[in-house]
Amino acid sequence: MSTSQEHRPEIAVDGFPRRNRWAWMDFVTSADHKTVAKILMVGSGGFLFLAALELFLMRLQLAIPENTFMEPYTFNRVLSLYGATSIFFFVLPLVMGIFLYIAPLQVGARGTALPRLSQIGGMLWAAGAVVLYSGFLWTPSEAGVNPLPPLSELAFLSNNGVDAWLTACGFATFGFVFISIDLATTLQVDRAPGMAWRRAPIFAWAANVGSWLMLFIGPILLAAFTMLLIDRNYDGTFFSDGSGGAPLLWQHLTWIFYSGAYMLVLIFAFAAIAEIFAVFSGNELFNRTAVMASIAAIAVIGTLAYMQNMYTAPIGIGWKYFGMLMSLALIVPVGLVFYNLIATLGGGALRMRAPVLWAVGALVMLSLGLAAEMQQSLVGAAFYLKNTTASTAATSFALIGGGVFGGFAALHYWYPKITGRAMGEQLGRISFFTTAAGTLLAFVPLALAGWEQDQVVDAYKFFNHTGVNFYNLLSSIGVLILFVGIILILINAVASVKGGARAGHDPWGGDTLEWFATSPPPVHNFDVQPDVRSARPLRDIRAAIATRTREAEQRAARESQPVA
Amino acid sequence: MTPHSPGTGQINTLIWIGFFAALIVVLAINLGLFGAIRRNRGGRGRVATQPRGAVGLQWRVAGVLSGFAALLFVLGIIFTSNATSEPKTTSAGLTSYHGEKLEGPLVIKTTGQQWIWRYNYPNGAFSYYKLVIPVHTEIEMKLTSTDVIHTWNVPDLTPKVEAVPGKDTKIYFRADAEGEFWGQSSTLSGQAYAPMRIAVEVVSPERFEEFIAEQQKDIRKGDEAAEEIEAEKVAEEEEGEESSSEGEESGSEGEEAGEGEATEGGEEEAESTEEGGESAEAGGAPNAEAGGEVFAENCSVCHGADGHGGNGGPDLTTMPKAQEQASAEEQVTDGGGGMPPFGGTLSEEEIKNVAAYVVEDIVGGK
Repeated sequence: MSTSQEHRPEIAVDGFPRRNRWAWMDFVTSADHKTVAKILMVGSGGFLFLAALELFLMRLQLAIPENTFMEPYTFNRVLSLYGATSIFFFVLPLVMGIFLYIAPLQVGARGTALPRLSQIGGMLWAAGAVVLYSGFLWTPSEAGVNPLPPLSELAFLSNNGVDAWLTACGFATFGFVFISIDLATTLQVDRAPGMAWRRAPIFAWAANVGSWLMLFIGPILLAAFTMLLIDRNYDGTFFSDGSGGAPLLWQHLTWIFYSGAYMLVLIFAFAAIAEIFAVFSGNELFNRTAVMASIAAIAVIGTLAYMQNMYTAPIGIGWKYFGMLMSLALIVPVGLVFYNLIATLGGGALRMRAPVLWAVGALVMLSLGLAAEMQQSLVGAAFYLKNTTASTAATSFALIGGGVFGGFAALHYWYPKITGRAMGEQLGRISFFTTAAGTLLAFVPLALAGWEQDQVVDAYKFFNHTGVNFYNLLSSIGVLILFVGIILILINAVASVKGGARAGHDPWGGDTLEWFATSPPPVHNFDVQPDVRSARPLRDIRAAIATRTREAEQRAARESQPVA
Repeated sequence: MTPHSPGTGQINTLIWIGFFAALIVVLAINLGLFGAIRRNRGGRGRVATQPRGAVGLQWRVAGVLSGFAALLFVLGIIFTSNATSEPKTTSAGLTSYHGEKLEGPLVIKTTGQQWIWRYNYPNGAFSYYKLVIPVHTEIEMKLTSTDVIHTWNVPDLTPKVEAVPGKDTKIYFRADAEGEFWGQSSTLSGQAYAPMRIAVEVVSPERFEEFIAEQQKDIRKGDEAAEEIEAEKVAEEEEGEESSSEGEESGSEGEEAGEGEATEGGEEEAESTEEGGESAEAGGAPNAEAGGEVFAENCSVCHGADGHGGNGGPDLTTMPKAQEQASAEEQVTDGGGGMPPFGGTLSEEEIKNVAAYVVEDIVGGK
C-alpha cells in the first residue's frame, strides 16, 4: 500500500482507511457476520474453561462426604454461575457463533442481510457476560441453575445477585434473538442463485430452523425474566403465591426456553456431524430430505415436549401425558437422523481425521444422553428419577455430547476456514480421548448414584452413610480429567491460530460453498456468487474445472496437429 | 430404591422397562455406528460408492421407530396410572382412629418450609422432620409449602412431588412394611437444602395411636406451660406497673433484643432458678444471658431473632424438646429434625448456656 502511494500519487487511498493502530477497535466495531461470530466463538471458549472450572470446584466439594471445602451459600453461588455460564455463555454462543459464521458462507451470501442486528446482538451478549462475571464484586445469585420463584423472589434472596443473574442472561438472550433475526433473514433472501432449500447445505438448514426456534423461545424467556425483575424490584406479584401470582408460571415459561435451547444444540450437532460424515466419507448425506424434515420436526416437537420437565409439578396428569407423548414422539425424527447419519458412512471411504473422531464421540455421548432422557420421559419413571443425579447425568451427556463434542467437531472441521490454518491433529486426538474418558467417568457414576441411592441434584454435600461415596469420588476424578481435556482443546485452538499448518481454501475436499471462499474469507466473502445446480455445488465446480481443463488440453492437442 | 408401596413398585418396574428400552437404543446406535466405521474405512485407493437412499426405506425405519415409541407410550401410561391410583387400606391396617371407624385414607397435611417438613395428623397432633404412619394403611398426603418450592421425595414409599406455595397437591401411598424410610428434598430451596432430610417411620396401627396420643399430650403440656408462663408474666407486669413503669419498659426492651441488659440479667437469672429448679441441678450454672448471644449468632438464622420461628426453623415454644434443659441440650448437641448438630461447633458451656436461654427466656417467655 505504501509503495502504491509512492508510485501512484493520483490514487486516493484515504478513502480506504486502514487504521492498523486501532485494529482491535475495527474488530470489536465490525458489523461483519464473521467478526461478530468470532467474538462469540472466542468468548464461548473462555466461558467453557470457566464452566469446567466451576464444575470442577463443585465436584471437589462433593468428592468426599460431608465436605466443608465450601460453605453452602458459596456452593449455591458457584452452581448458579455454572448454570448461566454453561448455557448462556458457552453452548448457545458457540452454536449461534458457528451458525452465524458458516451458514451465510454456505449459502453463498456476500454478507448478512441485517448486519447491524448481529453486531448489536454480539455486543449485548458481551455486555451480559460482563454483568454476570462482575457479579462476584457484589453478591452472586444463589438461586441455582434455573432460579425458580419463590426462592428467587426478593423475600428469600434479598441481595441483588438474582437481578444481576437475570440481567446477564437476559442480555445474552436478547443478543441471540437479534442474531437469529439476521440469520433467518439472510438464509431466506440471500441464498446464491439456484440454491433452493432442497439444495441448501444441511448445516445452513439447521441454522435456519435454529434461528426460527430462537426467535420463538427467546422472547418467552425474556418475558419471564422481565416478570421476575418486576416482582423483585417493583413489588410485582407474577410469581408469588397468593395475590394472584403463580409460582408454576415461571416453570412453564422457562422450560419452554430450556427445552428449545436443548433442541437447538441437538440440531446444531446433528447438522455439523452430517456435514463432517458426508465430506470425510466422500458420500452425499444419505436421504437429505428425511434429515431436513427430521431437524425441523426435532425443533418443533422437542419444544412442545417441555412439560417433561414438570412431571413432579402440581399440574394435571393429562399435561404430563402430553409431555410424554411429545418426548416419545421425538424418537422418530431423532432415530431417523441417527439412521441416516450412519447410513451416510455406508459404501464410503472414511478418513479418520480429528473432526470425524469428535463427531463419532458426539454421537456416542448423544446416544447415551438421549436414551437416558427417553427413560426419564416416562412419567412414572420420572416420579423417582427426576431431580436425582441420574437426570443430571442424562442432560449432561446430551449437552456435552452436542455442545462440547459436536461443537468441537464443528470447530475442528471449520477451523481452517476461520483462521486459514488447521488445528493440531495429534493434540486433537489426545484431547478427544481425554475428554471422552473424563465425560464417561464423570457422569456414569452419577447416573448410578442417582438411580440406586437417590442422590439429589444441587446439594452442597452428601451424607456418609448413604452408599454414594465411591460414586462421587469417581465422578470428581472424571470431572478433573474432563477439565484437563477441555484445557487441552482450548490450548490446541489457541496455539493453532499462529502455529497450525497452513490450510488452503478447501483442505477437506468439501462439497459446500464455504470452501469456495478463501481461508479466511474476505469481508465480502465471495468475489462472484456461483450458480448452484445441485446440493454439492463445489463438487460441480471442481468437475467443471476438470472438464474445461481436459477440453482445453484436447483442443490444444488437436490444434497443434499439422493441417494436411 | 426398594419399593415398599404398591405405587413405587409400579414406578420401579417402569424404570426397568425404560432402562431396557434405553439399552436397546444405545446398543443399536453404537453397534450400527462402529460397524459402519469398521466396514467403510478409506485407504488403499478406495472410492466412495454410495447406495441410493430409497424413500420407502425411510418410511420403514420411521414405522419401526413409531411402533417403538407407541409401545413405550402405552406402557408409560399403564404403569403411571397404576402408580398414581389409590391403594386401599388392607385389613391389617389402621381401620379405626380414636375410636371412630376410619373411612377412606388417613389424611396427613404436609407442609414444606425452609428447611424442614411439618406433618399435621388428624385431630390436631403434629410433628416435624419424622413422619410416623401406620402400616398397611392408605395415606392421603396433602402437600403444600409456606415459602419456596420443596420437592417431597421418599423413593421407597411415594412418588416424588413438588410442594408449591399456594397449591395443594395430593399423593396416595400405602406402606407395606414396618421400619424407617429415608428421603431428601430434591429441589434447591436455599442454604440448608442438602441437610433437609425426611424420615418416615412406619409402625403398627396400635403404636400409631399411642404415638398420636403422646404427641397430643406433649403439645398440650407445652401449651399449658406456655399459658402458665404467660399468666405469670401478666401478673409480673401488673406488679411492675405498680412499682415503677421504668423498670417495665427496660424489661420489654430486653425481650425484644433477645439479650437482657446487664442490670436486668441478674434479676432474670434469679427468677430462672426459682422457676426451673432442674436446670440448676444439672451442674454448673448455665448462663442464659451468655446463651442469648450464642443464640443470636447461631440459631436466630432459622428460628428467628425471638425464637418464634420464621426463617425455616420451627417456633421453639411449640417444640417438646425445648421445654426442658436436658432435652434442649441434647437437641442442640446432636441435631436432628432438620436441625444441624452443634456438638462440634459450640463448646459444652455454650450449648448449656444456649439451652438455658431457650428454655428460660424463649419458652419461658421472658
